[in-house]
Amino acid sequence: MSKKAWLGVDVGSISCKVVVIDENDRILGAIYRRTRGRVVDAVREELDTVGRAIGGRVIMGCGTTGSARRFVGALLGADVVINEITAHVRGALSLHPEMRTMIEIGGEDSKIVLLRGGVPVDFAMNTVCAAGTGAFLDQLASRLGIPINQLGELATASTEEVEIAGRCTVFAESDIIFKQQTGHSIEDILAGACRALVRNYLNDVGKGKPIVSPILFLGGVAGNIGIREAFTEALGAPVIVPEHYNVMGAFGAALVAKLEQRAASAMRSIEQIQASDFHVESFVCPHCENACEVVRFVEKGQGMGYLGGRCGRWQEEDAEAPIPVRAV
Amino acid sequence: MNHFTFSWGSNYIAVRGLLRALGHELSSPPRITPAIVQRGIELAHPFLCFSGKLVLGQIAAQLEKGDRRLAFMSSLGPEACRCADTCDYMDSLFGGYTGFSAHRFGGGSFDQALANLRSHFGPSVRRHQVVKAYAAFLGKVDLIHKVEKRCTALRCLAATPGRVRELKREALQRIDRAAGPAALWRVSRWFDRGAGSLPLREEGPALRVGVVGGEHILCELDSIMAVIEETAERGIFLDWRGGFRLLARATRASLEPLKEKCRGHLHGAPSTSEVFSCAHAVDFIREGYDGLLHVYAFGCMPQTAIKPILQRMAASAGVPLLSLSIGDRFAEEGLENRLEAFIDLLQARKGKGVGK
Repeated sequence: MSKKAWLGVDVGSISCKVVVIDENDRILGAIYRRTRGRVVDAVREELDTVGRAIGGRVIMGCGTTGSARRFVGALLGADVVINEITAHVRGALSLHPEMRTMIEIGGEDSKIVLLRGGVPVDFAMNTVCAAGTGAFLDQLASRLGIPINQLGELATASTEEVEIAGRCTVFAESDIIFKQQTGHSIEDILAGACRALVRNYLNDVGKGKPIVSPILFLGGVAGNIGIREAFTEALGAPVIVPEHYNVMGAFGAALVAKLEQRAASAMRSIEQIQASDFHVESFVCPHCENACEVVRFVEKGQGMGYLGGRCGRWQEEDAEAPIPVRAV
Repeated sequence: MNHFTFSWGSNYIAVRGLLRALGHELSSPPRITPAIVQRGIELAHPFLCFSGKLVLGQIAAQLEKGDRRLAFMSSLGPEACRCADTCDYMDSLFGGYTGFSAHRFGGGSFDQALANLRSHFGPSVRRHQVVKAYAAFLGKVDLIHKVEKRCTALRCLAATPGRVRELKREALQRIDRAAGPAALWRVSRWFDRGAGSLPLREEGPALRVGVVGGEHILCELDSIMAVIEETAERGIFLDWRGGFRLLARATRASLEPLKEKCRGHLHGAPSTSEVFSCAHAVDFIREGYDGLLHVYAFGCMPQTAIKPILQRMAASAGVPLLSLSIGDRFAEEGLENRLEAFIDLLQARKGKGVGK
């Protein structure tokens, strides 16, 4: 009898993460890559890698999460589609059941989840600004002409404390220019920016939240040692960065797919997904003055599913009206 | 020439009832679309709250269509919102439209309301006409509130949420057409029969969530709030006790018991909006609701002020609270994400007996 595997896919604003687990919830393979705006292509390419990595195992189920969870779910024929807060909690708790605070910082989102006795009791996400997220670091690296993966290491070489105004990425950039003009080293500026991101996170997402150890730090930004050190300094407590810190959402989605496994998975084979001409279109519903923007998943010229619309008509009907569409 | 107004959800229907009782007609306001939101953002001061921007966007859309006579009801009693009495602001924004006039109804007492109506429609307005007009207005406000509240509950409890949406649509149309108290009573009976005949799910609500927040944004159940209402279809009993009805019905005397509930939480001279939110949160916590959902318009100062107070109340009671700021930088995706995660959190807590 073939061995089994479950797939979790987390597609966010910046990156795509894929995890495959076995019967014992062990991670067989994990992939993290930047999508560069080409989500469907990125998922297809990662699945190709996964297909080779799992060998003869049979994929029994699939879960998707992240901001693109619904349309990636439609592409894959996912069995479960869950929000990324729940997915991260499920993944992290499975590996660290003692966790009491989860900090997650991704490309444009940041979150905090408080847990007591293995149960989430409170959470918060960033509100209307991405200044405390990976986007801030991307902007900073681009401005200074530094590869993003070297930013943290350089920050740890800082010798002098420099304050950067991190409340807003635009103002931070102005401040960085000023600090460069006044002769501060790149290392000191980077360390100041790391502290600014952490300060911003704690004053926005973490405001009023009792942050208690053990503290897990997840998301792509957790790979940045400068940010890790800034958190440790600001919190006065160590932050734990687990091995699979940047794919924990995908891991959680795979765990939920396994837990809620159906008799027969709806997931399509990797070959079917690779061969599909799946794409996403949007149109403005013409049926009333609400003029809702509706997203349609299309394959072989047929609508496979719809998102959006306030009245629910597109989810209830399969009507294929000839409506002008534009590619997303 | 018709009057026009902004929507505040379906409550323009009640303003139309008031005007019809006085022999005037009211155009239907346009639905809130991204274009209208954008227009409001362009017009408004950046720090005006999101509800205010929606209102200005709708007014502008109608002015550009040729309507000129703005009729709006802010409150019959104390204002919930410090920004609601904005006639001067509207004049400064829209004074360039030839013939523009703003008619603000309401007032703190019957005599003030009468004086307001006479200043707009002339001294021929009689006292009995005013009584009839406000009876129509309040009757429709009450019935709209009943329909919206019951339908939100039924979206959780009924086996066929699609039929609930149809019932609500039809009920609002009937309320709009109803002329006089007898007709409204018949609509109310018709609605009760329709709601009572809907087949219910076998299982009761999985969770009970109390909704508090800015009264103006909570009015927008048909537009911005639609995403939140959809949550009910996951078996979540959503209860909100505010909205336009509360504004229309509030008097200084009726606020006293609410202020009493807020004792120990609010100090000084809190705004009416803060009193509503705090008092309802006290009730929801006392009644053992599983969670609190705080919905407010981005930029609303009273609701920004009440947010940390609600957080403290919820934390000390061990009840999870999610604060959702609805604004022009809001995306439905982000809203859905937070709501789903909040419901998952409440379910996980309930499953493990936390907080009980």
